[in-house]
Amino acid sequence: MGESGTQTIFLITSVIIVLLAFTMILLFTVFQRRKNSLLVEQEENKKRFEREIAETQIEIREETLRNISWELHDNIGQLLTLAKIQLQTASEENIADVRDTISKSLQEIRALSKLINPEAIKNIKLKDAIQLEVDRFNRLNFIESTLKIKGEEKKIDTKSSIVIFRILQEFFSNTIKHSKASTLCVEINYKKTELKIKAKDNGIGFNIDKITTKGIGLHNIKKRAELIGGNAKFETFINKGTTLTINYPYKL
Amino acid sequence: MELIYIINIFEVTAVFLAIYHYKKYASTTEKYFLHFLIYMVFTEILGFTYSKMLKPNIWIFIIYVFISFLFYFYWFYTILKKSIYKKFIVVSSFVFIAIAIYNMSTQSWMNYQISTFYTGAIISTIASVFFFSELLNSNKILSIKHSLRFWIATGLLLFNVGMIPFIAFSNDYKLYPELRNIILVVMNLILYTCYSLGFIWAKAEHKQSF
Repeated sequence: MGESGTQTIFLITSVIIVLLAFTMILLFTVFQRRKNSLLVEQEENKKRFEREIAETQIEIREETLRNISWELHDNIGQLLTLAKIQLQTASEENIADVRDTISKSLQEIRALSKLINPEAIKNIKLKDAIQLEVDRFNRLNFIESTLKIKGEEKKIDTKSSIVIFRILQEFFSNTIKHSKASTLCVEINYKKTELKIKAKDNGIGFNIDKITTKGIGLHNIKKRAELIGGNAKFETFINKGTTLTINYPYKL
Repeated sequence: MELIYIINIFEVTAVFLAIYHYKKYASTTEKYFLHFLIYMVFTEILGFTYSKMLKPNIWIFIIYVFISFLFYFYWFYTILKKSIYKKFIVVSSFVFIAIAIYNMSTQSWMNYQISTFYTGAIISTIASVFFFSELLNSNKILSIKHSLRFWIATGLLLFNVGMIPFIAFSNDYKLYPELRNIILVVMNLILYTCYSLGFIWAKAEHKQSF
């Protein structure tokens, strides 16, 4: 060996050292870069999520205001008009009817004011919020609604319940406005790993391919369900009613 | 004491850390690493005893190289997710077995059968790259420090990247035993430091089904 052998060894050793250093630096840079971009992405997703939640909350609030105005006009307003007419034709005999009408109006006002108390709304559970909606539909004779609960109630993340509630609210409002349905069935199923909500009406249905976007729209409903890690599915046929199914896996 | 025996200290340290932190990874495939590391220490002891008795001991290491690469392939097979990667591992394992058996039957057991080592080292380097590419595309990258798999794969990758050229010129290095020993010690230091860090920093992963 001698001179050239020493040189070879020197060369090979350097190659080994350079290879090792290169691999380490490469690994470090690639991982660091990827980690940073992932963090930025996560941050953006979080922001988008928060924005979407805020928007949903505003929509719920708007819908609630619309419902109040509706209820004041259609329910309490009607009762008071009736009382006025009764008073105009008042006599000893029917004054009791007037009193009944007015106390019924009072009852409705109390119910309404309880319903829209922000403190009560804030702490409400998804199940109870849906129950209130169903009760309201029955009370106002909009549609014959039922709510079935299966399984043992589980705690659901507040933000997710807001989104789920908004999806259902949109579905109900479409049912009442456009579907000409006479019954509405809601079923909440608390399964082991996921929450399954099924809402079904017996209305005229619609053609999924030809919908004009109203309210938050079908696409948006699906997008929102995905946002909270679940999914929403529509099944509908002309004159066969519409079914909305929401699956939501519980968060750990 | 020769410098080369420092390697045994690294190995034993890694084994102790692996035992001490066993609970963290007991539910994953990494649990077999403990068995593997113990087998490795056993090999070292056996090899050492044979050399003290002035008996040939290279066959012990030939078998060790064969088993260790098969073990690494198996480990990569269980942790890789894409089926094309898994297929690659299966196919190359067979290639490796064929080459190893061919070498064992045609070459002398008095020499290290280096082409066996080559094949194994190249395959496991490629497998590490596959593993990293999957890791890079998952959320786990945010907490790689706590991933035992990451540390094992890093250790293996660095070790193999350095060992391939070293083994290729191992005949030239025979003339410079000190340099050869230093390189060997450094390589093993890198490998077992990665393993040890992995065992220390590992956080129990969620139970995964394989």
